[in-house]
Amino acid sequence: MIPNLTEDEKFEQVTSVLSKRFSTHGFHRVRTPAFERYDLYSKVTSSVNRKEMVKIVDPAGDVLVLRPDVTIPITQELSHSETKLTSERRFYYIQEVFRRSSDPTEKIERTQSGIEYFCESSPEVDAETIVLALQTMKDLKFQDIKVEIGHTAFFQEMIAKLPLTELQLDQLKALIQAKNSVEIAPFLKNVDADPDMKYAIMQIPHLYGKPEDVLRRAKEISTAFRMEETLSYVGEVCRRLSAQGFEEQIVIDFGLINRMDYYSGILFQGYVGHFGKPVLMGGRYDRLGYEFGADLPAIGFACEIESLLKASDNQKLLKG
Amino acid sequence: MDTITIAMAKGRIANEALSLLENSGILFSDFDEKSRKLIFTDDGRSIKLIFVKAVDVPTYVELGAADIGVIGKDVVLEDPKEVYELLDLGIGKCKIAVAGFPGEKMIDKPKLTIASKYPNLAKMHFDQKGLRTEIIKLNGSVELAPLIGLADCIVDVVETGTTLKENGLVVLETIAEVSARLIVNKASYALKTERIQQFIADVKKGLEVYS
Repeated sequence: MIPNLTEDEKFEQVTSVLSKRFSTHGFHRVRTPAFERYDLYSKVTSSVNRKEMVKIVDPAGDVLVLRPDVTIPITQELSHSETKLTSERRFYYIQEVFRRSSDPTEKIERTQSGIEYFCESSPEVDAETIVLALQTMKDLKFQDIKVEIGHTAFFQEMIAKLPLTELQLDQLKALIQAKNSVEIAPFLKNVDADPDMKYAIMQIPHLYGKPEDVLRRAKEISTAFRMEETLSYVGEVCRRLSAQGFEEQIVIDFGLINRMDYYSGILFQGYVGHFGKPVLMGGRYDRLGYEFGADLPAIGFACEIESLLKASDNQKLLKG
Repeated sequence: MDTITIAMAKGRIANEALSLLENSGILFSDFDEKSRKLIFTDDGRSIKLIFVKAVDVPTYVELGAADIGVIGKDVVLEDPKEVYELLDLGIGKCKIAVAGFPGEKMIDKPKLTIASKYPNLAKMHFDQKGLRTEIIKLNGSVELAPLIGLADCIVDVVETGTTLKENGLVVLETIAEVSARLIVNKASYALKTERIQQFIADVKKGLEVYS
């Protein structure tokens, strides 16, 4: 990017790079309403935190929210026309989302851009989506690009079998997210579960690194949980990414948990050098359609334009 | 080799952490405790050490201004950040406790007033017990609060208990045992995986020598 651009011009530049990349891959731009019914989000179990939504009461007394998410309304919209996916659908969007964080210094309004690719789950499609994410970051001229790949089988599905209270579940989630292997063992001492399961959970923080190495170590704990299929699926996705020249850009993180609970399957997030937070997040959400009585398997990812701008500023600052 | 930046706060924990690193073969020969300098580089020229205020260590690490931080678990518990917590360094051991006058019956009060440097932690602890509280955030000399009637109890870090004793207070309940932790920025871990894993393995080796 040329330095003397205004913030708004830089913003336009980033969004046009994204639009170009997404439309080249056959994605069609869609928009969703700014005001949505609150029911939509309270209905989809554990999607957007209720406290974070910006609520408005309309003259009729109905509660509305300012668009807190884009994946949910797009899926709902599609469910009106199809209850079963007849052919694949590719959508992309660039629009504001509104969330009120508990931290008052955080902005309520951010611009999100992403894709929603409705299609049957397969390693081929998942790899294609991750490649698109990697290419998008390359288009933006980022240096040191890394994508972490995880799978919901390792936390969501394993933990579902444990007898945990809501508080304990949050605590364990925080421990896994922090890769806090020191405290997971004492925590599990008080949980009623078989030793194999406990051992497997304790290994999750260590399942991080190069695909070959991590998959090999993961096999050791998978036997007890019928995870061979999951592991060979992830392995196949990684092989396809390597074959396309992205071997150095991928790392497996089976401790990855997305804050949105509607994911099931592959999860991923992207990092770039000199920016401390993920710039891109995504995954497969085959079950979200069920919330609207439709069978709409899909994979997608999203990034925040403000974060991309900040990251690109950081990289230039350090170079200059 | 990638260079890495480590943030810590000057003081006892930093001194112990540095001797721990020394055991692992990572030397900061030009470090001088009395110096006002805030940045030091190790003898191998691959690690930058920056000194920041203790409560700011997690912020530096979360934002990626430092790849790694050394910080007391008390700070992490009070204000959780999006970072990895990969090692317990076993140094700076102490506990976070509720303290007050001997014989204080917290349960009898309709509403308990608590003074603390750790308002979030204090609230979480008493909420879990189902006690109604009013929390007063103080930044130091917390022991004074019960003495002058500002609060019924305090929640604070207790090392030897001497300060409590000299002010006529006792530990009523232990909330958590804490020690210094090694925290890591999530992006750094993805981008410099091998370098950071190597550093952690080195520190682990140093820990074995240390204990």
